Amino acid sequence: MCDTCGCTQPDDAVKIASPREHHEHDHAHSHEHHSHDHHHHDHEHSHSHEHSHSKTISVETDILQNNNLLAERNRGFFEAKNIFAINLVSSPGSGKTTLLEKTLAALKDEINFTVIEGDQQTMNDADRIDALNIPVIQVNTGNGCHLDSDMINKAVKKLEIKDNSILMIENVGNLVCPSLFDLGEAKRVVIISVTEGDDKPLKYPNMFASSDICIINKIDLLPYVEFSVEKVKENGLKINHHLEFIELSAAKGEGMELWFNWLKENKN
Amino acid sequence: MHELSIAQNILSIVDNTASQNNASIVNSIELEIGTFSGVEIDALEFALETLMQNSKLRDTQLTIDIIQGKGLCNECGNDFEMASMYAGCGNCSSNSVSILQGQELRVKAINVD
Repeated sequence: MCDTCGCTQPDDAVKIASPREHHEHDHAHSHEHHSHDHHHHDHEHSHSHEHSHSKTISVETDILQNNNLLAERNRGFFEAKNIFAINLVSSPGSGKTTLLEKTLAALKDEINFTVIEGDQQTMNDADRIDALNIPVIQVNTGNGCHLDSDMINKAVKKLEIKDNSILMIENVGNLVCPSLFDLGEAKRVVIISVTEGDDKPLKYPNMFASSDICIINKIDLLPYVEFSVEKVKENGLKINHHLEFIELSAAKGEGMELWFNWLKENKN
Repeated sequence: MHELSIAQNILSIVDNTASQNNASIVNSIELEIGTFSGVEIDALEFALETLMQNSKLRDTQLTIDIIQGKGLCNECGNDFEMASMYAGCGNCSSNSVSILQGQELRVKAINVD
């Protein structure tokens, strides 16, 4: 059942909605059922061939080919409109949404932003962004553990993204699955907070290997936790020697300028 | 749990390839999965078996070739087997290593009638 308005929507279906349309309860939302699996077997074999010559077909196809092709289409669209697309990934609770809120509030007068929020359930995050008057779409993945390029493609069609803007995609909080799914982003940003372990890059190598920068969040809590900034950097660099780091506290504001500068420098 | 969507992708590729080749029976599927692909092979096998059980692929044989990770040291040019993604160069212990193989996620071949 749909968690916001109670319409009969199976829990595991993907929902793509903006906070405004959802809360107006006009039920205009079409609840596009995500047709990830286009492989419904409806073959009608004639079985007229009596034979027994089996053959081996060399397939040599990347399993994520469909996702990757669509991600490249998204990327081409973003490039043509000079939209700087960022994929924010992290564990649940590392502060992605807070970082996003503070960033939007600080920069929305100089830069046009659009946001895609990914969560298994609820419109909560999209509501937080909507409160800042930033165009936002919530993708609820249902039982899915990651966003994929098809969800982004559909969400982008619902958003009127301005040229020369920044698109922030907040992925589902999960350090495993989202690492495999290219969305068409220009940069992947992994966030780790100091309340987590400094060996996380070693435990979840794929995510750190595929990210461009690593934000170390909640540094205001460093005096209270056993977390070594040096250690997490060392571990991150073991996985990905190109990884850059920014240390900040989204809640308290410390270090946020470094992040804003990174955004502005990389935007064009 | 992305193994389930990976499994669905695999069966979709198999299905498309079989119908493009006018094949009615898929005897076997051969996959290549790298140790750094981000896929848990046991979970993938379980997902595939579950999906195949109730389909026309229930008698299809599944083979997974595991591709061991290999890296090339950018400092000294040593190429070596990597036990983990964070394994440094065994020769000069540099972390500047490019992964040569181990990230594969591929349907290699299918055998059909």
